[in-house]
Amino acid sequence: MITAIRSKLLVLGIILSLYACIGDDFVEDFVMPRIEVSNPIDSLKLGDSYQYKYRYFNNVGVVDSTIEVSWNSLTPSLLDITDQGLATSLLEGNAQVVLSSLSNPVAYDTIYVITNNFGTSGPDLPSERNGVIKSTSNYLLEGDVQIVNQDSQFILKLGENFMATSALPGLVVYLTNNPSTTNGALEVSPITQFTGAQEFLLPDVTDINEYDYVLFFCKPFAVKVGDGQFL
Amino acid sequence: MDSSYRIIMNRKLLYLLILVMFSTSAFAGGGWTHKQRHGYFKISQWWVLSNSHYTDLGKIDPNITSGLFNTSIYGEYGITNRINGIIYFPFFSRALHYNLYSGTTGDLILPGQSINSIGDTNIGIKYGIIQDQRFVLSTTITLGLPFGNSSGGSDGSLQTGDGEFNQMLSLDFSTSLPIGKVNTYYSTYIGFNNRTKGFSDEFRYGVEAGATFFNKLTTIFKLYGVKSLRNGSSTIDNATSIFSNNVEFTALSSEVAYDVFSKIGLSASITVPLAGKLIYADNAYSIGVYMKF
Repeated sequence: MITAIRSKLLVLGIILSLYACIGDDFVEDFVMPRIEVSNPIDSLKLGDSYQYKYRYFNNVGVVDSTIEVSWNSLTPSLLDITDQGLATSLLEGNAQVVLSSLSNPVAYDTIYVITNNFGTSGPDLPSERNGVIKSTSNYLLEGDVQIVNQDSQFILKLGENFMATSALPGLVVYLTNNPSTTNGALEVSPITQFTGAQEFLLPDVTDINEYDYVLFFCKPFAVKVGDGQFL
Repeated sequence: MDSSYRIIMNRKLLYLLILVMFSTSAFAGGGWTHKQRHGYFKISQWWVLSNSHYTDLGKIDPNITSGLFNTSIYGEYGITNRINGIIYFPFFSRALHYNLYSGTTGDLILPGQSINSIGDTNIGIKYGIIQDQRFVLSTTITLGLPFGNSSGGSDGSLQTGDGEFNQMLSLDFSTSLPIGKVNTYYSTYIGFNNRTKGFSDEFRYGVEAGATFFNKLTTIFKLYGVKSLRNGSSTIDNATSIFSNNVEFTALSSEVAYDVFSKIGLSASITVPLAGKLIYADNAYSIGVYMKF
């Protein structure tokens, strides 16, 4: 009898040991892949050339620089463009270029540029983008958010109406292009002030359009608390 | 609520739940004390695995799946007819977090981790104020010894202990009542847990009823809980200590114990959280082998 009990306990112990193994969780983090010209211009002087650049965000919102793309001028008599994105202005007019992913034709970006005799000018990029933070959990999180370009220094600003729970350990703010995960996100700062206006310098941000979302995560427990989209 | 994350639970929540449950176990004897040189010994496995937790507002949110597994010994011994020594010693405690993968690419986003150690230990002395009467009353002082790891894992968030020394004073009031051939008993208890290092003190309470059939099979039902006095520091240094502070819950526990032999038996229990704050929202289980002497 004792032997039988011992054997059963051993089996039970083995089962429990397996149960105590580290398992796997999965996060649903799909986003539509997209591609964009990251340095568009408004106009290009006749005879001048301009090197376009692009960013491709894969199906989890992470920049993939290995993707193959194609550049096509829809107005080849006005603007020529090489496979590497080098555009040359040929005739005056309203030129149109389509950038697309070879592996994912659904992802494309269309840009417009005026070819003229006056000169090359960049687009009027916004100096700030605004959003509203909302909780996606049962924790308190709300307020306005801005990303601001101040003398080519980018700053993340939380508004005076910002409020967040202090009950969570390790509440961290991120910038991301996928609001479901911190994978590929830029970690900005831990939140230590749970109400009111505050600012965070963004030395690693080079473009006001680089990120579309602000994301709040309880980092130690990988719990998403809320997000906000920059418009 | 965004449900995209199947949560991992926080280790501290797990740990706290465990602590509370074990503390409750420490009063399983109710108001009775063992006679001199008599007692009770149990070796058991307790575990909880949870992918959700109660928030500070008492609502349920997901978290990365986390687990806590304690292998422990528990003993009660009659030093005299009225004074009993009590110990709960989790000699092996394991806390873990699951891996987190992208559901889209299958890439590993956050690697899982675990720690193994001994856990926080409780020792106590129970004194029988009223014994050998229809209604019995005892008081117990329990010391919570921080033998566990309060800051394990790569980010210090895995725990097998809370890192604080606490002292709990409790009162147990019990009575028994035979119903036909079934022996039943009823207990209630209240306790005050004085915690250190900025943790809030706690009020603990519970009611319990049990019935023994054929002198072999005992079923026990407990309803118990913890209420934080919210008098602790809100700026505890430990990155996850806030989770272990101001924890509250109400839980229902059911246990079955069967005397395989006259002095040796097997037990199993399930604890279901009914409500809570900053604590796991999943069931806890235990199995054990006990000996009465």
